[in-house]
Amino acid sequence: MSENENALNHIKKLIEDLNSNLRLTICVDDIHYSPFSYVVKVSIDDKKHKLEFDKSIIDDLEVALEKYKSSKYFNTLESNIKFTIYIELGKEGLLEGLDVSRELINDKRDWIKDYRVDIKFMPEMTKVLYEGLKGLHEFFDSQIEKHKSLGISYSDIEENKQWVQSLIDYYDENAHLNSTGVGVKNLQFLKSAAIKKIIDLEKIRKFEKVPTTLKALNQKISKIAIELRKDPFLEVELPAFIHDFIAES
Amino acid sequence: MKRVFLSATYEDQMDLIEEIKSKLAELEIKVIHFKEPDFFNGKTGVHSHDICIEKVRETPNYLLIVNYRAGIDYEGSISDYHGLSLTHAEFRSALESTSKNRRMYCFVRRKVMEFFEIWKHLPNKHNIDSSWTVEPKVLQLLEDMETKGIWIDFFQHSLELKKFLSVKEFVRD
Repeated sequence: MSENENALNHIKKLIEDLNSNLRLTICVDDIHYSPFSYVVKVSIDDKKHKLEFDKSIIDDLEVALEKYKSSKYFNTLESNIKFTIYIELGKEGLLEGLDVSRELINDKRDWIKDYRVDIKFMPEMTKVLYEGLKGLHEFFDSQIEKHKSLGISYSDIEENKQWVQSLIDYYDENAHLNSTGVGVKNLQFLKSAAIKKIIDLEKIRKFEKVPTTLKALNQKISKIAIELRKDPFLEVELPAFIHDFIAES
Repeated sequence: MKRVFLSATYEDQMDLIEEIKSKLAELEIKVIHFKEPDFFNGKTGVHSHDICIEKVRETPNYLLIVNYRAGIDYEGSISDYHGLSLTHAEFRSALESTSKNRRMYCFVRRKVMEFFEIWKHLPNKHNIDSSWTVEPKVLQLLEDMETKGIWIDFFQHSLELKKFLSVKEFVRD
């Protein structure tokens, strides 16, 4: 057996499994080692694309497949591989039919338990987060109205709405969302806000026909997804309400 | 407060580095890393690589993670570091820093170290071809570490690395 054969077969399977979601057909043409990384050549209908995975992550995956399958560690590595695929192909508009927002929501990895970090966002990301927070606020409002009309409890939703409101107020007072010692709960809400924004962009993309606009939309979505794959968001688990949000949208 | 300068290539192991930053934050350790938004803090007139060197010098803990790639070359103003990778220059800077309390934690992927063990016994060290999975400048860094007697922890995979990090004692400022 050649070096890292199991890991490379696993990656091939992950890519070809995308066919159940995609409108186009994706297939792996070749995987070869090129100094320090593995290059995976894929065809998506008539388009060719290359994905690159560093040797270190493939080494890790090979060990994890043998010793840690079904562990959080394995999930974490698999998540890293999957999102490399989603982001690389997604920004080229090659994953028609796959919404990265759903993948982010269903992501499985070793989540951080407790966390306090200093956060500072670039203006573009701040705008994304602020607009996402506004969107979450509207969503909670509509949920509360629905619960009221049905005469059922909505205290949890009210609590979430207030939390979002406090973040919106913070931005309105400071014109930024930067802060020191930020805890997990705030990060969960901010991560949800970014996902809300991705969902909004994906909805627009669904009905968009103009190639230039589609390209820009794909790049914007990928850009936000890349931010969510970094500290402080990467290891922050999304709150339960995100599933309400997906169900509603 | 505990602070650590994280010295590692980034683009080739982005997920791992971001996970390590989270892990250290969970351990209540502030990570000084060039990807942090306040790292360069609007500083102008100084080469970004020299800002890295300055940060290494002023941070009491230094954490080095060595994988297959060497990363970019140092291009700052310190002539002694020319010809080294930026990571290697940061390592030298940590080593040369006069701070009494400085702690250095160096982690090397086991497979990389295995290549190094073969490489150091080669009659012609400059004659390595593209079949080598370790960049030559990584081997130079490891040689420097060995020559200077630096303690190295080896990790087989990233889970092991994160476990090692959990038990290290980082010093306060």
